[in-house]
Amino acid sequence: MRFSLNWLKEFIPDFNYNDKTKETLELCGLEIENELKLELSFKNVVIGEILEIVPHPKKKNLLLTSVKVLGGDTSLKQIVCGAHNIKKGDMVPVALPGSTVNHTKLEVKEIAGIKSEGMLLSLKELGFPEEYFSKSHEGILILKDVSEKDNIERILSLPDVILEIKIFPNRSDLLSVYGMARELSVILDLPLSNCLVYSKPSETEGQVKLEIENYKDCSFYSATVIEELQVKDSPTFMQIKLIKSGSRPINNLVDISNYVMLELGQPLHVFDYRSIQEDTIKIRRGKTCGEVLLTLDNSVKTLDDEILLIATANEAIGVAGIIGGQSSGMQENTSKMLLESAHFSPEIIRGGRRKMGISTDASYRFERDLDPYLAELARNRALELIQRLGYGVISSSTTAFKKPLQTEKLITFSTNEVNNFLGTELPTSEIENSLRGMNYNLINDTFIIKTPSYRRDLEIPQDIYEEIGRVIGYNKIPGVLPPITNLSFTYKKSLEANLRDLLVHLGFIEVINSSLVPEDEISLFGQPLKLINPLSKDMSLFRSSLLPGILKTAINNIKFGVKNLTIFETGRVYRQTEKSSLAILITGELFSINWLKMNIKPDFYYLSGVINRISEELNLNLQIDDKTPNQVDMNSYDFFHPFCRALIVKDGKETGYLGEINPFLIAEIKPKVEKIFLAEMFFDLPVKLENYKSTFYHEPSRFPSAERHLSVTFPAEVSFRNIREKIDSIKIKHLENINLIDLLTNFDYENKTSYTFSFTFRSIENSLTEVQVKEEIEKIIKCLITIGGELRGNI
Amino acid sequence: MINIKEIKKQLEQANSLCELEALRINLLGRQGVLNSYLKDLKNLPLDERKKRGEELNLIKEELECIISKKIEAINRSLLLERLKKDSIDPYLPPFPINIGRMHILNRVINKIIHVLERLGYEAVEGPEVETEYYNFEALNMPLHHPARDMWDTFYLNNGKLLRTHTSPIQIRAMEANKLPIKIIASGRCFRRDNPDASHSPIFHQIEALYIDKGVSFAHLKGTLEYFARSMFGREQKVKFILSYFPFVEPGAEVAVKCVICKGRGCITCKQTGWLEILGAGMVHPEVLERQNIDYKIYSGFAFGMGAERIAMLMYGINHIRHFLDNDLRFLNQFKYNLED
Repeated sequence: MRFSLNWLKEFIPDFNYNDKTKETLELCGLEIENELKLELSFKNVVIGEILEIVPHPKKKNLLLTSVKVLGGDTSLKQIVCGAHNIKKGDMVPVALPGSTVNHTKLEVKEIAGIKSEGMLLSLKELGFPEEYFSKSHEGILILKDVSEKDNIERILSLPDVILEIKIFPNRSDLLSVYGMARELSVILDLPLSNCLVYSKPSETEGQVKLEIENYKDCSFYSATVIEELQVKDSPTFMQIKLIKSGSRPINNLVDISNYVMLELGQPLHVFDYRSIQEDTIKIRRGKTCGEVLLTLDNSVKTLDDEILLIATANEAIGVAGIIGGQSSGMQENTSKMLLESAHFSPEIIRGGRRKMGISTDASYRFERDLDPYLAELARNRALELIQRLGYGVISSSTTAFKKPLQTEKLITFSTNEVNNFLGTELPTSEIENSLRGMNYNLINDTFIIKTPSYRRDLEIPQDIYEEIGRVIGYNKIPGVLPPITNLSFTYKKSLEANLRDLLVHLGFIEVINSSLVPEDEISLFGQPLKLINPLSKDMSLFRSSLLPGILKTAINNIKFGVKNLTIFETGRVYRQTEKSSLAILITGELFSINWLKMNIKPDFYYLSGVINRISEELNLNLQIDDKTPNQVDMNSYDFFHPFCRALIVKDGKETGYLGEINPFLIAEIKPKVEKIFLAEMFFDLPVKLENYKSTFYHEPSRFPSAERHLSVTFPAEVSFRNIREKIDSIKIKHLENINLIDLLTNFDYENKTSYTFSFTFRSIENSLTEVQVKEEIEKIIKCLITIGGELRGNI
Repeated sequence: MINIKEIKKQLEQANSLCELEALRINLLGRQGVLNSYLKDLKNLPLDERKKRGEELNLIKEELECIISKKIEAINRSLLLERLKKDSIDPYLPPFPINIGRMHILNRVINKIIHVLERLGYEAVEGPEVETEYYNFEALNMPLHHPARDMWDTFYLNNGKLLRTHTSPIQIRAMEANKLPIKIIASGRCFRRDNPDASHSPIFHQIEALYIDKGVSFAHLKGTLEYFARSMFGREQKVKFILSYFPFVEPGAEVAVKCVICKGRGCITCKQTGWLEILGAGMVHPEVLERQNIDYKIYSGFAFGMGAERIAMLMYGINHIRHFLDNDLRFLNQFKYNLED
């Protein structure tokens, strides 16, 4: 919220705003987000009255004015002006030749062939930066209710500083100049002067009939009828305060309601009395059967029973605490109005505000829970201003409220409890001293605090401890490390962390992609989780796979000339439920190009080797399988090359897939992308390593091994899987290892495949004899022959 | 008589194994010079025979010795000849060996976890797709609480939302763990903020929670001092700036001495000498009470920070977009030893 320093000083005259007080305020949670110094950038600017306006004879859009300076000589000054918001009789700030404006001396000038003996000034020229105040004022500053004795510096209250102070949502009491001054007086220990004058109307039998449907929605409502209105511009001193606070002056009556809101924090509302049918005000929820309202911002809103309304006997004339209706807005020719000052529940205002999508200064304050006693005070303040300035006559005032507005809040705690909480050893007297501005009783070492009604945030002892802490200074409390107890004895790294470490060990580079992806990714990857309120179309889904992201990463890098990629990503995806996922991508060659011409071109089998390694190292029991995936995964499966893809199966359940990317998907990409191999695996949450087995030591054999090679041909229809399963099905003694070391398809021009295996045998007990090894090899041959194998060679 | 001198010279001059073998046969072979002398011995008188015999044997041994040494020498020079073919040029470019790398964000997160694990905190995680209850309500923000505006939230078509902070994990830990609780939670969070140099709708948070008997504000401060020193150097200091988060009371923004200028004032710290790096506070009794933790006996503190902000400060990264851009030329800059 914007605060004028001069306005704050009306309540705390001793406030000295400097770096030290600024730091104190910031440490206490009053962050100054922006500070605008308004300097006195002009000298000898006077007040002038416009006696005549004619169009500039030579140039369109310019005006020629005759101005008489107040209190100066009687001669008329001829001044050219470009702004059109002036009229005959207006009082305006005038800079005559010899005066200074914006630190430069003014001289008589010719403008489009006509002599101009000075300048009529706008706020911008008087030192109010346009970009900061453009919403509040434009054109020449028309002075209202000024006299000969006034001077422009005083009217504009310069120099001044505009402070933008960040206010936390639990501190509704700070959303006003008076409230902020009160807070500053506590923090800085300065006296607070309450110079405000109020005018309490006599509560007579009112002209207005009030009906409050539910006091939970509205605990206080006051309707004051004011007659003999004089609608005009408000005095300049008030306009300037509004402008400095970021509010735009409209007319005297609207301005007073805004002024009081800024000063005390209570939003007020004025209705044109002609719109109040049957002299009745109902505070009720909207009707669900299509009730609508044309609001002041000129839009039609549909109402319902979650929105609180101000209504007459027949129809809604405003949304309580949020925005008025068009039909009840103040017209120029109005002579009678109704001034509303009320307390609405924060929940109903916030609910209605969100539902309707309108946020106003009023709703902002109401939804932060205002002091219920403030409504009456603010009404009295507004009435005082209206009467004193002679804008109208109070004809009646009606109030409806439920007693008591608020039950007294008492908070009890002891010196000991304060010290335990803060970790301090404060004596009772110091705590007492830090409770300034609070109403409390002290019995022995126990404090009983009666919280002020405006401090909506004080509810529990901890709230008071915070107050004590900030007055003492949190930075003066010594830091102590808590005793290191309660260590977690079950240290386990998560599966995700293990996968990351393992892939880094395997030479992969980790990437991290956005979880929010564009809508066109739907088609490939299952049931999307849609964002109701995305920031943009590019980020409108929560990803269901890491593959599009990691593929994008690869393509972007390839475009930058990084063609060899071995990358991976771990992250969350949503596939009916949230899952943890691992994606791996390889493309290009394993090593960068080198004069040794040593390289590896990774392919499907390299990738399946990585999966196998992961499975073995983390004991995940992953298998690679070519069975048809289920329906959900089938869509994702199209991401891959139709003849170069496979499923990853864990404990018999599909858990992911791997393969070459479908060449159709990258065909259009320039520069041309080589083959890309990808894998993705999904894990249920919470991700734990359930098969986390301790590794036990095995004594390695000290005896030599025997290695035998065996080449066997099979008809093409016998797959390697059949062969492997067959070998695995028989019991072979001392077999340490089987490696496939050669593979020839279409061997001997026949439809046959030749496999060369290397078998390693070793015994833990002794050196194996030729006879022992031969016996086992023959066992293997015999079993392979049963599935169509033919021996080629036996080395 | 044998001309030993001449023979030795011949042997010396032999420079191949063939030559040497020919000489050996000529001298020591069955038909060799030495044998012919030995055969003649029988014609000599006995005493002379004996003397002469010993002489010849000595010569034979000497020659054998010379020959075997010579063979060894020739073999060595042959081997050297062969090894010469393997000679390298150490100035030629080395082979481009690869190394794997963890993403810099995860490395920073891991470092923070390691620092806090030393104090006994246990690393835990939670879901990114959260419910209103965990993200707001249980954290003392019932529906229509104005503080909800502090976190602009993405809502999903399944009635859930994307968590705006890692604090829901605090609640899950309170539900699951026996007291005391000492956890460090990390993970991805989402806020509907328009991106700029230091804000991204997707970011990572790390937060710690400690609930025990007698936990005080001084303990929070001590823990944060230890943390700041571990992360940013032993001279570090922390500063508390009062703030507001509905799930703590009191709440504070915590600043450390600017890591760029060491507190002298620079652009990064906006000339203040301090950098706000984390939010902290004492767990609000309302939060404890909702989880049936007796707040009259137990108290606790929590603090949390953005991993991107910490990483940006540690490595002088000037724009948050680098983290999700995955330009390998960026990622590969962070060498192995930076992990320390």
